[in-house]
Amino acid sequence: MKYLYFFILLFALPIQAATILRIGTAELVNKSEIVFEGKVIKTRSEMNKQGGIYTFVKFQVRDVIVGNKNVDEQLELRFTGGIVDDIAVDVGVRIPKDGESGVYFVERVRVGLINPLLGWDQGHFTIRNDGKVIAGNFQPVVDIKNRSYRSSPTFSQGVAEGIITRKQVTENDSSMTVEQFKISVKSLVND
Amino acid sequence: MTDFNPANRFSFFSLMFCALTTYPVSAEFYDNNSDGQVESWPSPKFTFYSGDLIGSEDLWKEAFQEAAARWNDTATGFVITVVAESATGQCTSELTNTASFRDDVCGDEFGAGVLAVARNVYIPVLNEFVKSEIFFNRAQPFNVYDGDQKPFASDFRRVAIHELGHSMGLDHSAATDSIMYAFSNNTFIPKLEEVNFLRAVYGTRSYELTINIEGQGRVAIFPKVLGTGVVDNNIFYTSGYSNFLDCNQGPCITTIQEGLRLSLEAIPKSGESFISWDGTLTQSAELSLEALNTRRALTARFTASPITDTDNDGVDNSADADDDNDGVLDVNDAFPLDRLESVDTDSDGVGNNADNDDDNDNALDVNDAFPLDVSESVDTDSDGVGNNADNDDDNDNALDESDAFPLDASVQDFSSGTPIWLLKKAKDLQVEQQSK
Repeated sequence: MKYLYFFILLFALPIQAATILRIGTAELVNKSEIVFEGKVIKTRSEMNKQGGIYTFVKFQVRDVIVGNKNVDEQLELRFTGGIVDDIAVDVGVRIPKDGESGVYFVERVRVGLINPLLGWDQGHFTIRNDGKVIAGNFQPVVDIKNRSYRSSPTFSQGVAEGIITRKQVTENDSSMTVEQFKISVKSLVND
Repeated sequence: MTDFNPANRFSFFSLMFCALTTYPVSAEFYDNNSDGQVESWPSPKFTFYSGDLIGSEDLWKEAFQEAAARWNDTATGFVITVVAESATGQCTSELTNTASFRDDVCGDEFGAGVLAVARNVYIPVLNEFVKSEIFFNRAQPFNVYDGDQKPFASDFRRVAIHELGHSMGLDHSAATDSIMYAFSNNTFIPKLEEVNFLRAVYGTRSYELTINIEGQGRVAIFPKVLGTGVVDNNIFYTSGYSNFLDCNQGPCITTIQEGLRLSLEAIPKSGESFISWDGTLTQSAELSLEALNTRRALTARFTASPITDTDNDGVDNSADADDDNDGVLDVNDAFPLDRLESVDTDSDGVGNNADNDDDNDNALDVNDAFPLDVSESVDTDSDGVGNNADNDDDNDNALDESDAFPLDASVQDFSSGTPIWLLKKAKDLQVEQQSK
């Protein structure tokens, strides 16, 4: 039977889906170890001895919005999941893809978390080619308001409380550019 | 009400079976990891071991069991079994499915705000799950409750339902009232979209139920309990479902989804009585489908009730307000079937007409001035007040306590020298003589 397990494990991949509390923009900004704008320049995936697969994502850091300004120009984060040879792992969180530009709210830089981004998708924003910021629910961000945890907890749907998004997008919409987004984020930093 | 008979087998059970091929499910709902593939379990079932949900006595285990029941109640082809025992194999290649409280997920920290993680293992070339583990974050406060989410404690049961949905392969739903919508509304029961996903991926398991009727009566079939899923005309109902099937003439044959919890009620026609079900050990007129044996066939047996007309007035006792026609309505009649009796004062089972001591005070009625009053039997002066309550038994204007002859109106003795005890003794003596 053990051989069967090993055989299955060889072709078996873990995926994960989680229930995560919705956080507020105040926590998103102030509980992140670092918030940066960057671009993914390289990804590599590895399998550990237990069969877990992790993807190491290397970012070219363009701008540190919040946190240690002395971070290296290139920053590597480890996400659970990825592809190794013919084996794929999906952890239920979005792993930044090669060439992706975004704003990333990092809960902790060093390894050890399932997902290094705070609140998973809540801390993952991508930047569209036109410079507009897209939230974890794949909708453009139109405003950022200062919000804290609700007294009654809610579950995350990919967007932190206080991040205002809009479904329909037009060329000349009012969604935020990355520069506007960064200014709003900085305004939420506690003194 | 929906009638069905052998000639017309398109009951709502049939409809939900036929609707298998037309479930409206959004494409993204199939693809729980956005990889363009739909992963599913090779057979529509799994067993979860919940023994490591330790704490609060068995609160968490019971809540997890209930979460599984919520999915099972949808009566799709997928069946979740929960065993409240511990199992080894977490984060290993052992193919056991476990739910547990943990400080980490296979060595990795949950991270801020992460309540629970469902970790599924699947074989990509087959798109088949082989293992699922649900890790609840021990550091997060949980409770079990109905209603909106309460401050600082998430409802464990809802999280468990949600994570079990992931374990079966469901993705998050965009429907805000869905259990798979990742937020905290008061949702406990899967929605049609989720049910349809499971039905589309795993199909349904159904069986034919045949109901026969012997005698005069019918069988009605209802959803068993509030919260039990019923699919009618491809709409999933969870509560307030008032429709039911009515089998008026057997044999009635219908297709029922495995797992549906329904209640059958045998209803006799007027003048008939329900006797029994053949095909089940349960003999109550109301029957749960869970109690069915493997025969999948039931016979409701009725018999004509014997006509009872005690007073021969042509009205069956069941409809007669005065069965013995003694002028006393049955509701007031101690002997509704005995026209000679209607009262039993001393409740000794003998009607007053036949009882020679109605009040059971040991004074025969013929000698009892108060035959219906257990506290009185003598009234010497016939003033209507029994001697026990009368303070001047002989009505000679000398109170008994001062009267040496309290039962003799011709003698008044107010002599203060007469001891009270002697006066009483004289009274008792007179009473005794009068009783005789």
